Amino acid sequence: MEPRIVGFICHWCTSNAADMAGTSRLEYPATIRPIKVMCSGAVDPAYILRALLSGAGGVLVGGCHPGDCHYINGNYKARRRIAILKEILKTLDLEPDRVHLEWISASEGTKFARVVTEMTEKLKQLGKPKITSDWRI
Amino acid sequence: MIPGIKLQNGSVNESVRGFLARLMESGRIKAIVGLSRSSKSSASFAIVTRPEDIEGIDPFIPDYPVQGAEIVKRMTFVTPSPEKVLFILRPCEIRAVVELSKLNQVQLKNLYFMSMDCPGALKSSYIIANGLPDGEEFLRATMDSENLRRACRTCEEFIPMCGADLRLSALEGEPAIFSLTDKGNELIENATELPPPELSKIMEQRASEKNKDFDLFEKKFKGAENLLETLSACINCHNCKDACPICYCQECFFESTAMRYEADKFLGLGLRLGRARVPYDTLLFHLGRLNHMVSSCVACGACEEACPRDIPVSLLFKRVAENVQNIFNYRAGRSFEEELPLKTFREEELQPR
Repeated sequence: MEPRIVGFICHWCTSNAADMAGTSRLEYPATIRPIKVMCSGAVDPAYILRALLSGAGGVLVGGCHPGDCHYINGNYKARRRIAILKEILKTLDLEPDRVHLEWISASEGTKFARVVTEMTEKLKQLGKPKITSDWRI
Repeated sequence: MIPGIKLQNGSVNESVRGFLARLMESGRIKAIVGLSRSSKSSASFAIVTRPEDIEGIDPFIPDYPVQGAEIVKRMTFVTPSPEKVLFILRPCEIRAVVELSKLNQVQLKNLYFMSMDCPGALKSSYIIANGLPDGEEFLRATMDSENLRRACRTCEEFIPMCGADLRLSALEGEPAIFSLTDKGNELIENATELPPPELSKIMEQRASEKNKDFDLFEKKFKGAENLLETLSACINCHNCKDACPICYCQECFFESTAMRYEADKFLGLGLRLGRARVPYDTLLFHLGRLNHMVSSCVACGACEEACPRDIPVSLLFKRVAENVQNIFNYRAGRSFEEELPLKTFREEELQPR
């Protein structure tokens, strides 16, 4: 089965990149379920965890490149939050690689398509998430 | 050498109380907040305003009722204290005060803090079975470290540093009260330069207990299987969150409407897995809480104290906190100047992500 990716993508950059990938008719796996957020810095890790615990294979957080954030520094804050989340998952041996943060600007439709393709490949290798098949979550 | 005064040999408590009573009599301090025996098997914090009532104060009494920082917050959240108040708190409680001040939850104006080389506190189960000894008795007793709270027996930060104005030292060597700050100097008359106690033996002991505990972490929490095995006892009471001094949100995300499901979503997880534990989100709660507060976790163990199911929550948080705080070269409660990891950022850091 194809893995499912929940994407939290920022309104100003990455979601435009997703549109660009579509209008440019680029091919990439239909694995991502994008959710537009105003800023990558607005993504509470609790929502990333909820996606993972609800059966998503992976979560992609997409934001503007450093220095390009519409809100000046939201993406820097996102980077710290994701670093904390991944460190927690690493310490608990809970597959931190399922969470991915990427800077994708509005003009980078090709990068968006590439990131989704690569992430899908990686998640296929990781297989079924260990945690979400347990009835006790 | 540190400026301080020696306490008379004999009863430490007596001479500390004498010191505290003189602070109030001389008008330098209006009120003192500290632990006080409240029953055969419990101690509570008390606010003392009359010198003759200082009798009840027992700084070393080995109970851990509420996290002292919580009391500082309740007192000063709305307005700062109009009078000078001295809090007698354990080092972990002071660390939480430092974090809360960076989170704008306490106002430190007019507050003075006395802390101690901390002998730790006893497990509730021990106190229920054997009664609660007085602080003095506890200091002299050779206690099996198994009887101490987990957070206490594995604590390497039991010497007061940042945030404490006075340091009460009676674990080793000659009992003394040291002054650590200018505010501390205001409270001590005729201070002389005294050598600080050695304490390296206790430090070693605590470090070895910590290593043992971190080995236990691997078995209890590492990997999905172990983690769920341990957290399955959780009854979602959220006591750990309520007892946590750092969890300061007025409305917790995990108790908000974001966590309430309609019937079909409720059914959904059951349908996906065939069998699913309800209510949901035990794991989400613990992992989410880690994400929200672990960068400021002071490893006081209040969470574990509050757990009705004896889950070693403080081990989970202490272990993860160490790793997370290391990324930012941050240590909760170490200084007022170090910026909270979630409040700041560097342009060049964390590469690759």
